[in-house]
Amino acid sequence: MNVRQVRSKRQYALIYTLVLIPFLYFLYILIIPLGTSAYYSLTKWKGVGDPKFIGLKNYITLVHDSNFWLVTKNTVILSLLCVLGQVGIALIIAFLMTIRRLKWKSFHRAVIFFPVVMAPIVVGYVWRFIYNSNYGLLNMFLNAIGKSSWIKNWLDDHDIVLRMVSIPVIWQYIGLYMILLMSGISAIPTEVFECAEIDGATGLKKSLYITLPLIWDTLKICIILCASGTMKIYDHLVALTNGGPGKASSSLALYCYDYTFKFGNFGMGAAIAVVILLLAVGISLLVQLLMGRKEA
Amino acid sequence: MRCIDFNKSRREKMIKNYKKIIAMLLTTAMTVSLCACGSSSAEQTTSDTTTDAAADTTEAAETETADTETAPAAEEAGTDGLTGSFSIFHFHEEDGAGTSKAFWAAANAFSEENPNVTIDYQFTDSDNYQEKLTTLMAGDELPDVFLTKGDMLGTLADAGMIQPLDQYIQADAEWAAAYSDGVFSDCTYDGTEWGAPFQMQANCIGVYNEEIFEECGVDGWPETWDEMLDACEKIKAKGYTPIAMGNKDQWLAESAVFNTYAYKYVDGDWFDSLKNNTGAKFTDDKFVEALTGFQEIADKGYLNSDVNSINQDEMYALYYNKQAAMFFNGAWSIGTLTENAPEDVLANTHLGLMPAVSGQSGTKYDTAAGAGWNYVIRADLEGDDLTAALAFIKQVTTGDYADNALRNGFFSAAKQSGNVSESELPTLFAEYSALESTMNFLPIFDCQLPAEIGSGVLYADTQQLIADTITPEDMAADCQSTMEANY
Repeated sequence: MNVRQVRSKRQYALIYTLVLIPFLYFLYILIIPLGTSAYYSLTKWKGVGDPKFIGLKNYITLVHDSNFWLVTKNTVILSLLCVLGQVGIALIIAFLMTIRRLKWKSFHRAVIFFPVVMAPIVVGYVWRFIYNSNYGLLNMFLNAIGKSSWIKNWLDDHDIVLRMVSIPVIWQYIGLYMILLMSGISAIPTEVFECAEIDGATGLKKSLYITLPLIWDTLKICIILCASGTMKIYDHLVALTNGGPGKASSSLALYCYDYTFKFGNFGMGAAIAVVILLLAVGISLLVQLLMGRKEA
Repeated sequence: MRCIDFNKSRREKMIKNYKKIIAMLLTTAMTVSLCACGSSSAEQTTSDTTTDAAADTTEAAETETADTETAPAAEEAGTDGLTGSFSIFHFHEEDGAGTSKAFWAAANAFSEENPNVTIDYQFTDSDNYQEKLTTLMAGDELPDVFLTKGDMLGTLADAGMIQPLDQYIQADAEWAAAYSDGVFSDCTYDGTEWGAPFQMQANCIGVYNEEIFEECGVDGWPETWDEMLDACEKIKAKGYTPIAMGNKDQWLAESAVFNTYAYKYVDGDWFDSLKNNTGAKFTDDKFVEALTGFQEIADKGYLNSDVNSINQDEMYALYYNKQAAMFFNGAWSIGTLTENAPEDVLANTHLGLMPAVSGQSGTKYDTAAGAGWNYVIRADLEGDDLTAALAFIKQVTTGDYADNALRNGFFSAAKQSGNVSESELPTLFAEYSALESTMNFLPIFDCQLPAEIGSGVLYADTQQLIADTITPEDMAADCQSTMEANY
């Protein structure tokens, strides 16, 4: 017994040592920078010299900055559009993929997943060419089907630009959530479906009343990932519009980048970064709260 | 049997020990690889930025070790030129045109004359240069010599990160006499000249296709703004885009067009007063009128409709494809046109100054122009390294560099020798050269104002002004409030 105890203490020591190594690494690359960012957000720092502590002044400036509210609104709208578009469409596709008679399932899956592996900046540029007013595919297509009256300045029109930039983002990541949801569906025991079929459940009913409740947790994860991921949307916007016209398609991340690297105002940049973090955490908690646990 | 048991337990023990050892080894390997990941990526960045110069430096690196170990020996080798080493952060592409070509010619000549000087070239393309520089600055990893714009000069100087360059330039009479007048205005802060400029370019020049002008019944380049608006109307009626503009990246409309247009209403004194907070304001009537006049071009449909979603290159494309009759852009576009424009377009291309607005004080000669970027030296560079860096800066801004600049289609900040004959100049550049001598150079807003205004609000709001989502009055108020927060 004694021997066992000593051995298990040693094992504990080994386990803790092994856990400690990645933990220290995590602490070093994530937790500490997070703490320093939070500290910098309370300072006036131009990137040189010592940061000067100014309390909440950066946050107060932000609250009074109309552009800040505009980009926050843009970011939240983009998040909503992306959750609806990405997870919504992915869910529909995942349901469709359960149809037995559907042929070439793996081909469809591969094609829909393909954009996910592309770099966002590339997707941004590809779509910029699609939207281009002179040689863009979209306008060419509209001309070809005789709907040239529908042609707009897709990325120049203040009123529609945000919806236009959300389309490439949605298009790119549908595949990711489709795969997550499909793996959720495939984890459901086939007996459940067979029982439901014996009871007379068909297509839509089977999806809504059997599949959806059983993948509820996966769906929740998808929505949290999508909403908090869109909070930091940056690359697509840089490639498509650079946040323009004005700040009409700018996001919090883009605004943070501008302040930090273009204006060299690191304190303000850090404050915006903290806001992004709070917003992402807030939205995650909100989704948790709203979607709860279905079984409970 | 006991023996077998004993052997079995021994074997088990050994296996356990092996497992432990393997586990420890794997853990160590993981930790090391993680650490290595961190450092190698850092090295990667450095090596990425230095690739351009790899060829130049390897050769010199061999001599560096010898230099540091045997300093006296190096002194003896003084006949071979200077010794020392320094790093330089720049945006001159090795296979680029214009300024880049002239820079590398001078830099390579320097290395040939001074084989004992080690130069660590760190390159980043100009679009991302300022962002990278800000990052280096925040990490206190600034290179020994680097290029900076006026809007960052104050921050660097106040923090004591750079040393004034004028003390060294003044100490060398030949060097001091080499520069043209007024080229140091973009690198003057607090009465001190902190850097050395390498170019002096107009930020705005009108470029037009004479063939399209004639086809639309426009008789040559307009002399007044009213004539310009008439011309635009005629050109538009013929189905061409009168003025091409590519403002996706936000700087072009403000820096290369509006800035000079504003000087038709306000003058250099107004700008100095605004910059130094001695009375002038963005909300002054004259400036608001300038904004109103500028918005009119967009409102009347004289710009391409996708102005805010295409960039500078796509703007050139509109002109190359004869879809647009003219555009305004900095003098750097002359080099690009000479290199890239289709022959028939280039043959019909001519230049003009932005016309004056009737009833306003500005003339057509008033043009935003300047050096923009300047070489500055880190505060702690000293000794042989400093001497070498100074000699290098002298070589890449003055002397042969100035003549070479002309051959590459731009004006350097230094006086040329006069030995470059007109036939050596690209045709379009010769035309520019004649216009340039008539220009009245005025400060560039985004080079001298703090970045939050110069490349912040001014850029973003000009884009909105063109998109008609902000009124001139609101834009002026917005600029002024940001300006006041930055004084």
